[in-house]
Amino acid sequence: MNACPDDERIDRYLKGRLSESEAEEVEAHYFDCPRCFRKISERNDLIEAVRARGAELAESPAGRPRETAAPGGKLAAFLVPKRWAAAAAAAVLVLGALLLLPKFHDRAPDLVSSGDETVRGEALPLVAPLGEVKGAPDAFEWNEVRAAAEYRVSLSGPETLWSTATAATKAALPEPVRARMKPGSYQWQVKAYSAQGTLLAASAKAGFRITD
Amino acid sequence: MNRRENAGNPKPGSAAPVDLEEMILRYKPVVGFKVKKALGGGNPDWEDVVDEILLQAVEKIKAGEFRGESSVGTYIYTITSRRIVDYIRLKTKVLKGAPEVVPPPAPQTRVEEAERAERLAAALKKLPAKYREVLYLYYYKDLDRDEVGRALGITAARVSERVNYAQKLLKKILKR
Repeated sequence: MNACPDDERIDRYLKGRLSESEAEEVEAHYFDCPRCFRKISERNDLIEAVRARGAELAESPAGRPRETAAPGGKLAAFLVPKRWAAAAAAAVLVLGALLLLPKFHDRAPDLVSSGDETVRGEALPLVAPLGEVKGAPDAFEWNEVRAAAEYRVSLSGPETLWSTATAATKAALPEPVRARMKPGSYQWQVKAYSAQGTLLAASAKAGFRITD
Repeated sequence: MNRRENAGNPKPGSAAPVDLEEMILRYKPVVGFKVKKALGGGNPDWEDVVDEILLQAVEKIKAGEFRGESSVGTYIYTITSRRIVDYIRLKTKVLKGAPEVVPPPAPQTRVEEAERAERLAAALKKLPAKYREVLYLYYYKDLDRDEVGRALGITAARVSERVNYAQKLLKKILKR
C-alpha cells in the first residue's frame, strides 16, 4: 500500500486538480486504508457543504470582527458587510484574474445521446414487502409487465446484497439470506426484460423496514 | 451458508478466506464514494452501479477468482474502475432501436443525508470569521493554497492549518 496522502494532496484530489494517474494512486490507497477513506469522506462532506452554501458564508454575522488591516496587510473584517466592501476592493486585484480559473464541480460525465430519446418505460408496481415488516420477508412480489420474459430482483441493505432472476412475478428469499437480515432499512427493485434482453420496465427503489 | 469463501480446502497459493458480509459492509461506502464521484451524485444509476460492483466482487470471490495476489481492497478497486469505464462507454455508445428506459425516481428521499447536510451548513455559519473566510476562498472560490494565502496575507501552510482546524471546530459544533 502506498503512503497515506497528506491534506494538500487530499484537497487536490477532491478538487480534481490531480492528474489521472495521481488520482488513481489516491483512490487505490483509500480502498485499502479505512483511516484515509474516513478522512477523505469527511473532507468531501465539508467541501460539498461549503460549495452548496458558500455565498451565505460571506453574509453570515461575524463571530469576532477582525481588526482593520494595515496598508498592504491582511484582508480585514472579511465578513462584516461595510468593511467587507472595502476589503474586497483591496483584494480584487489579486482575485480578479483568479476568478478566471476553471471551477471544479462534481458533475456527471458528458453523456452523448445518439439521438434516441430517453423515454419513460412502463411502470412496474411492486406489491410486497413495503413499509414496516416483522422479520425478514419470505418473498418479493410485483405486478406483471406485458411481454416480460424475465424479472431481475435486487435487494440491498445493512450487510445485505442479493439478486436473482425469475420468469415469475414472485421470488422467494433464500433462507441463508433471510437469516442474515437484521432489523433496519432495506431497498429492493425489480427490472423486467424481454426475451431478447431489452429492458422493458423498472420499478422505483422501494424501501421496507424490518422491525424488532 | 458458509460466510467464508475459499475456505475448506484452500489450494496452495490461494487467497485467505474472505468474510463476504464484512467485505460488503466495509467496501460499500468506499465503492459508493468512488462511483458517486465518477458518475455524479445526480446520476440516478450510481447506486445500481455500486450494487453491481459488489455483487460482481462477491461472485468472483465465490468462484475462486480472487487468489490473494493483491489485497481485497485493490481487487475491488480494479473491479470498480472497470465497471465505471464500462458504464460510461455504454452510455455513450450509439444504441439503435433501443430507447433507454428511465425508472421513475425513488419515492424515498435521502432524509438522513439531507438533514446531515443541513446541520453542517448551519454549523458553518457558527464558525469564527477567519475560518469561514478560508473555507470560502479555498473551496467556494476554488483558489489554491498559495492564492488564498496571498489574499489573506498568510502562508500556504497556515491556510491548511485553518482548514483543518475549521473541520475540527465543525465536528465539535455538530456534537453539541
